[in-house]
Amino acid sequence: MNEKELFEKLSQAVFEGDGETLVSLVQRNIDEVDPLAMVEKGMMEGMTKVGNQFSEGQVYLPELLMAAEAWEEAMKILKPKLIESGASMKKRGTVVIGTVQTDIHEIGKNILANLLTIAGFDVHDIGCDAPAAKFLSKAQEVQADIIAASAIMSTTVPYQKDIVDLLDHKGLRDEYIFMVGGGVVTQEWADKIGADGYGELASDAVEIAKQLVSEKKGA
Amino acid sequence: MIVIGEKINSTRKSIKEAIAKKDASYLQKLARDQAQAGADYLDVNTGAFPEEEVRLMEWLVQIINQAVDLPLALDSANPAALEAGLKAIADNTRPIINSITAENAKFREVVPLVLKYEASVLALALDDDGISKTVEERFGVAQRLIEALCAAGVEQNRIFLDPLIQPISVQNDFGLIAIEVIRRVKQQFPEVKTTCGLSNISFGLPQRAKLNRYFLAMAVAAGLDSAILDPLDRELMDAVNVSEALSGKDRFCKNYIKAYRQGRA
Repeated sequence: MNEKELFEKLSQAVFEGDGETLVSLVQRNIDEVDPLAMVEKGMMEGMTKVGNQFSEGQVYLPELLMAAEAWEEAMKILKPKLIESGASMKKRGTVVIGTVQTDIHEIGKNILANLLTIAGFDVHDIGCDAPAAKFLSKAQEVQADIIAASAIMSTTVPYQKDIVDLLDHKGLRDEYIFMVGGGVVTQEWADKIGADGYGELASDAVEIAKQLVSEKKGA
Repeated sequence: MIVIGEKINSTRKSIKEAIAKKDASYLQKLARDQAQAGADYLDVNTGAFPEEEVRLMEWLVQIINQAVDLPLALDSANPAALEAGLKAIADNTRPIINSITAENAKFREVVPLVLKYEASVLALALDDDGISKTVEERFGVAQRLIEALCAAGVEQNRIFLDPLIQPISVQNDFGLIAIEVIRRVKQQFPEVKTTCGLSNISFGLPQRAKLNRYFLAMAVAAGLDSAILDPLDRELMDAVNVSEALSGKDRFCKNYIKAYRQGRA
């Protein structure tokens, strides 16, 4: 099997969420083939396809999760090699994502976290019921570009504003791109509290995140 | 089966627009359609308007009261909106407060409303630690919540216990966990009613209506007494009828035969 065939097989295994095949392909080739190329020219192709087709409604949530799980398993083997070789994956940006204080809805937030990972972001998920301070401390720790906060209920949406207020109060508002989302969140609300971005669907949010990060890095 | 009609929920786009435009006739028609389709309660939600929720809840309850005689399930996370709805409700119907949980703050805020307005209450099996992942823990939360409500003076038959339905697309056994909790609640507290937001089960999958119907049948067999669902979905309402007959809840299969004769099945 030449490299081109290998990359195609890696891509296909990720696309099908076939962790077993993916891991065995990686293991068999890890000593001969550049690990970074396996990720970027092989696995990433399949993952991008999953992400795009999920956004188009062709691929369903369990298939997305299955692909993500296969990806994680392969990365367990690849990561040490990548670190060893000093190669680093191209990273689109760093995101801290979570669901706000007193809100325990995680599914939408998890879908976006997966899609952002697929899109090449380094994603740090702080879970649910997260107070504003937790968003900020994690963002400082990982030097995030984006803070993304989900809120689903009419009573929890105001906590998105708490995060903006905290950033303002600390004089850090310009350090981070702040994005909001969730069932009852609207563009009007996002504008009102001064968020930088809002996506109605997870796939919209990914595009907005890409755009905002490239603007920020360009600036 | 106690059917709680889910249509008038502001998190749905068309409803949100209708409420924003104060399109009473559209919303009243939706209330009448659901009543005619066999709903026992109508869910009413204005949560998409966090800043006007209280005022809009009052308005929505008033216009729906004008259209139908059905009791309402007031659906809000905001106690002030719940109270505005409770005050606006016509006196002779007993509404459901949707919802209370075993979270400390939530419980303290909502219990007084249940008592003051002698309402029924939809109780979600979650506490300050969130939604537990095992049957044992989830049932434990349900049990504590039911006991706490009873201790506060709420009769068991006014409690609609919701085991919380999470999508099988996220974790395969989420359906089974909910069903097992339903079974255990009915065993331990036969007077308590069980209910659920049915369509959560199928999130993230194709042909959701089909999954909803089959899951309904499984849950009714385990003791589900009620569900929040779309009564305008004829196949689903047919599944309600069939499930009840198959689970021994339709004496002499009376409703099943009647639905057939009336051409509803």
